[in-house]
Amino acid sequence: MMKEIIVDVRELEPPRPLEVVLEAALSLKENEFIKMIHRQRPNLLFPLLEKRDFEFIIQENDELVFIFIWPKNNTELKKYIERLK
Amino acid sequence: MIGKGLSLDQAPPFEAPLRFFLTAPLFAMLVGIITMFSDFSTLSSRYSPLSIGIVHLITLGFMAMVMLGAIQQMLPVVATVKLPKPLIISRVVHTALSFGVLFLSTGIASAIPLLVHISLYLLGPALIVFIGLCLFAMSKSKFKSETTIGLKLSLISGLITIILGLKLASAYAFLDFSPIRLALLDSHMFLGIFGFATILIIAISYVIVPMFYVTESFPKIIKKALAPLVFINVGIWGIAKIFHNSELTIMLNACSLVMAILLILFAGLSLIRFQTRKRPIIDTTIIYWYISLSCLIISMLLLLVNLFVEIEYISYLLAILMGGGFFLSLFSGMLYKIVPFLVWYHLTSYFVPKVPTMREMCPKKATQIQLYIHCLSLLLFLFSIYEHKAIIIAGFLFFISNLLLLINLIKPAREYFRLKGSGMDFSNSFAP
Repeated sequence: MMKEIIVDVRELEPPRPLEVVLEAALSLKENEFIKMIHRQRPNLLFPLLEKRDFEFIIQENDELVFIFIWPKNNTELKKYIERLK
Repeated sequence: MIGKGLSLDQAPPFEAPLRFFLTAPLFAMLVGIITMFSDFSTLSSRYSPLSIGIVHLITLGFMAMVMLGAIQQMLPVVATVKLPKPLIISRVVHTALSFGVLFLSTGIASAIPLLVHISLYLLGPALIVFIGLCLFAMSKSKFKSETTIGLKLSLISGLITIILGLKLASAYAFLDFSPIRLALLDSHMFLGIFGFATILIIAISYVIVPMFYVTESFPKIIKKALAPLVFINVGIWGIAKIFHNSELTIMLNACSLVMAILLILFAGLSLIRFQTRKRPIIDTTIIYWYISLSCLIISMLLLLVNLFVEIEYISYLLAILMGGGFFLSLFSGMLYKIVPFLVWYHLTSYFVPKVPTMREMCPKKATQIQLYIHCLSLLLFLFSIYEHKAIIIAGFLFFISNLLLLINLIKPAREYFRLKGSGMDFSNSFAP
C-alpha cells in the first residue's frame, strides 16, 4: 500500500524548506513517498536528493511547484507516482 | 517532468564566489580611510580626480565584486547554466579586478598615468571575459524567465559600461582627452549605475525577495516590463547625452523622469511585498532592505525635483543616497543572507552532521551593530554638507562599519572551512 507524505514548505524561509524535506526523505518507510509543495522551484534541492539516492518528479503551475520524491530504484513507487500525477 | 534539475557540478564551489564577497568590504574600508583625510569640497565635486578614484573603489571594488560573486552563484540557480572552471575563473577575475581597481583609482586620484595604463590591461580583459562567458553560457540555455532576460540586459549594460570606461581610462593613461569626455563619463556612470547594477538588482529581486522572505511574487506585468524599460531608458539617455545639444535636453530630462518613476515603482512594490509577507519577522537584512528602498525613493524624488529646481550638492547627495543608501545597504543585507546560506548548503551537500544554523553563523546582535554604524556614517556624510568637518567622522564610521561587515562574514566562512573536512563526501569541493 503506497503512502503519500505531504511536506508543505510554502511558508518557510531558506534553508528550512531544504532541511525539512531532507529530514522527511531520510525518514521515509517502505512504500512511502513525499509530495513536497513549494512556492518556487528549489533548484538547489535536487543535487542534494540525488546524492542521497532519491529520485524526483517536478510538476508546476503558475502558483505552486509539486515535487514527488521517492528512494532510488523503487520502480513500483515510480510507476505509482507517474500514474498519480 | 522527470527531475533533472541542477546537478552539483553545475553549482560553483563555495570558494569561488566567497573570495569576491570577502574582498568587497576591504575596498569600502579603504574609502573610509581616504575620506578621513580628504576635504569636503574635493569630495563633493563630481569630476575631481579624488572623487572619481573613490567612486571606482566603491563601484568596482565593492559593488562589482559583490555582483560578480552573486552572478557566478545565481546563474546555475536562476538560469540553469554552468560557467566553465569556476574556481580558476573566479581566481583570475578576482585578482585582476582587485589590482585593476587599486591601480585605476590610485592612478586617477594621484595623476599617475602609468597606473591607469596598467589597470586597462587588468580590468578590461577580466570583466569583458567574465561577462562574455556569462552571456555565452546563457545563450546556450533554453531556460527563459523574466530574471534571465533581466540578467542578460544587465550584463549587456555592464559590457557597454566597461567599454566606455576603458575609453575614458585610456584618456587618462595617454593624456588624450576627447572633447566629449564629460558626456562619455556621464553615459558611463548612468549605464553602470542604472543599467548594470540596478537592472541586476531588479532581476534578482524577482527570485530572492519571494524566496528568502516568503513574500508574494512581483506582478507578472512588472516582471515582464520593468527591466526592459529601464534598459531602453538608459540606452536613450546614454545616446542623447553623447550627442547632446539644446534640443536633446528635453529628451534627457524625460529619461530622468521616466527612470525616477520606474525605480520608485520598483521600490514601492518591493516595500509592499515586505510589508505584507506572511511571517513578518524583523531581522537585520529586512531593515537593510527598508533602508535601501527608502534611499532609492528619496534619490529618485531628488532627481525629479532637480529637473525643475537646482539642488545644491545634488551629485554628492545622490552619491551618498544611491551609493551608500541604496546599493551598499542592499548588498550588505544580502551578503548576510547569501554567505550563511551557501555555507549551510555546501556543508549539507558534504553530509556534514550538525550544520550550524544561519542565525548561529551570523548572530543578530553583531549584524545589528554593524547596521547602526553604517546608518550613522551615511547620516554624517549627509550632515557634512552643513558641517564639512563631519566628513572625517563619517569616513571613520564608514571604515568601522565595513570592518564589522567583513568580520561578520568571515565567521560563517570560517565555520565552512572548519567543518567541511568532517563531511563524508566532498568530491566536488576542489573542482576547478
